[in-house]
Amino acid sequence: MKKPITLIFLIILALNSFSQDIDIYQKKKNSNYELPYLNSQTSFEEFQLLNRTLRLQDMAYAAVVPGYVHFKVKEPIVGYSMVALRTAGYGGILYILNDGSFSLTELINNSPSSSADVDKFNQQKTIAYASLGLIFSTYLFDWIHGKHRLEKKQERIRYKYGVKLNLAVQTDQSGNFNQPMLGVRVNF
Amino acid sequence: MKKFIFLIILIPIFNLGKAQNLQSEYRYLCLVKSQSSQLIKDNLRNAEIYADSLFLKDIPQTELAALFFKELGDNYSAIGKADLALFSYLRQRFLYPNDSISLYVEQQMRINATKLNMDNQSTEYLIQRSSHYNLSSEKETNTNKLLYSSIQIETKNLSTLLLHYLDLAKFKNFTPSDFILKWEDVSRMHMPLKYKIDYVNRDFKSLNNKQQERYYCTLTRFYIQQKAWGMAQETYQKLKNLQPEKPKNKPCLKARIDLHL
Repeated sequence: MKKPITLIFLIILALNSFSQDIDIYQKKKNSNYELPYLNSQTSFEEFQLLNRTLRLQDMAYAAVVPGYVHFKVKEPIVGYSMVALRTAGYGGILYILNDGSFSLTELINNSPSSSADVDKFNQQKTIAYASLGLIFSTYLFDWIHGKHRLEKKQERIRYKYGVKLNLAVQTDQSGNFNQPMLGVRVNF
Repeated sequence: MKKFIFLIILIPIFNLGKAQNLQSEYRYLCLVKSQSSQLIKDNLRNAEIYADSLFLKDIPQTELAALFFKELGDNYSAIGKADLALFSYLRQRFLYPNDSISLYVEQQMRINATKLNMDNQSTEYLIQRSSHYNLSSEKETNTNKLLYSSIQIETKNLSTLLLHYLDLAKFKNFTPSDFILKWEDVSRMHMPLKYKIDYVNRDFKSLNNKQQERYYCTLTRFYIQQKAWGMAQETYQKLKNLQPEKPKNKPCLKARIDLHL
């Protein structure tokens, strides 16, 4: 009796185990094989937008690639702005590192050595805070605003085709149902 | 007998299917007209696809088609695209004339013409020309009239759509008038809008030297864009031969032709 129970347990375990996925939302099947039902007027861009979801791994990518979410949401102008701002942020950090007068930790902790030039320290502190602010704010903006834009766009697409589908079978202005029927009608 | 009965059943269902599509498109245009401009903009691509099919096919629901074009014009008007709104109203009046909405459409045409800075005389001429009693029973003639009238209100946005309609007309084996064909030539080569009318209204030989030079320059640039190097070289030679005693050199064009850039 023990053997069949162990076998059943092993089968259940095998069915519920998946290949490695860094995301916490695991997919139980490969959705790439599913052919979606699409409205005949759907453009490829609309299909792409509907098909895209922001997942945990995208959050990690957005930290590395500036403007990643906005590029994914098909808003390249905002995406490139993010690239420019993040580059400016990295530029500021590089300037501090290249100058070498103070370390980044010193500047952030606001703890200059006793022999430090106070004016220079304050100047570099401003640059450090501004640069780090730019890097983090662009990352957060990219993630939060990008997610908001994607949801808005998806809502608009779903609304458009959903309403059209209903409008096609609703009653006309005189209250008649526009459903397939047989009969003879003469228009004058 | 069985085949005949089967056909009788199929034809109404087929017509109903088409009516439903047109109806849903028309109703959706009505629905979004008063909503956010983004919803209107999102739908215009779909509406234009349907407008193309209305141009290509002869459908029995002419009243619904007229209402559809009227609503399309209203949608364009709502997002501030007066030129495209005016073109939609013209499409309604030339392709699917309907007297019951005529007064409303005329009023909307006047409003949108004002936004395009058109003078009253031109607007009234456009309205008169597109009136039901001035139309022919032939779709080909009406299409030519539509294109001719639309060229008079042409803007940068409208050019692409007009060229697309000209393609559709050719697909239907319609013969465009000489005026339209001349306009097509200069439009395809991307002649700037402000100079276009000189080349359409006048014979090429009657143009002055500067205008001829501009024509050849634009044509050469067009051939370069199309990577038709032989044609570009030929046109460039014509440009140089315009004034043999004082040949104009365009080093930039010459370099692009020679280097195939």
